Formats: sequence, C-alpha cells, structure tokens
Amino acid sequence: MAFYENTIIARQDLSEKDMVNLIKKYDEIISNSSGKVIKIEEWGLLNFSRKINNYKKGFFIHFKFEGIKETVDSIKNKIKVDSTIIRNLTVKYKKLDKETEFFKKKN
Amino acid sequence: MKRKNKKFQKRGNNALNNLSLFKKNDGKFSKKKCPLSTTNTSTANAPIIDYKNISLLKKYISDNGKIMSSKITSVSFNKQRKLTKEIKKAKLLGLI
Repeated sequence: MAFYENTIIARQDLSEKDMVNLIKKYDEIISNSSGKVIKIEEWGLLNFSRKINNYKKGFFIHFKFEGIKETVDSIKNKIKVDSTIIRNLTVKYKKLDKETEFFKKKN
Repeated sequence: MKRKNKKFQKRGNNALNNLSLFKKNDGKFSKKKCPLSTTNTSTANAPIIDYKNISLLKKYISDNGKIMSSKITSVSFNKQRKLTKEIKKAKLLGLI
C-alpha cells in the first residue's frame, strides 16, 4: 500500500449541487476499489496563470488517499470520460504530510 | 633574484596595502550557502519544497516563467533537482 495525492480541476460553471455530487462520486470510486480516503481539501475557485481550454478559472479539489495500483487506474479511467474535469494530477508518496495546508482560507 | 626582492619590498612598504579595501583576495571567493537547506538557514525549519507551496516556487522563477539557474540563486544541486520537478507539476495545474 502506498500513499497518493490526487488533484482535480473542475469546470467553473458548475452549480453547488454538482460540486457536492462530484466530490461524493470520486470519494466512492476510491473506497470501492480497495482504497481508503484520508483527507479531502477544497481549495475553491482559483485563477489560472494562463488560459486552459478557454477557461480562466477553475474549481480545485484535492484528495489524499491510501491504495494500490488498481485504485489509481480506476480513477484515471473515470477522469478520461468525465467532461466536467479540465485537468488532473496524481503524485505518489512514501510518507504523506497530512497537516500542512497551503490553500487555507483566511477568515 | 634581485628583481623579485625589489617587488616584494615595494608591496610591503606601501601603506595602502594594509587597508582591507586594497588587499587582494588570494584567489578565494566566499560562496553563498544554499537558502533551502537546514544546516545553512538561521531558522531551524527548512522551507518545504512542494508543488502546492506557490509562494516559495515563485521566488525561483523569472518574469517570463523560466526556471532560474542555481548559479544565480545559489541553491544546492540536490535541492535544485527537486525544485524543477515541483515547478513543472505546478505549471501543469496552472498555478504558476
């Protein structure tokens, strides 16, 4: 078992209901394919440094989970089909840093 | 032999040579230490090199978005290799 981080950029013009469903959807995909979700972070609406697919902003969602190769493959296959997601990135870690949050909202 | 002796004496006699401003470095240049390693920084904790830590990565990027060379920034070889990998990840997500 190894640790993974997965960031997803969703389209800007989604409603709040769709966002909740989208997070719930990928949460279930990970847990169904012999994985375990440790933490979910919502970075919120952020500006891109340049245009990506004619979009200027995007909604960032960040998953931290533990799993095997099949869990990563199942997520990647689902993302390929999903039209609401612009970009994604998965990174493998031996040790996972759970505490530090770089995109915390200031109250 | 005579000539060498004369030169040596001239240097020694000149009063300006004793001042620190006019003293020549004997081929030794003090090199800057790496700002990202623990042993060199004054604070105990070294900054985390990560693709989420944008404020750190932006310091090591030029205005056009190029990665700065370690000759200018004096980052050590090991940390420079980590930096380039993390910067490229952040560029892919459109953060930088």
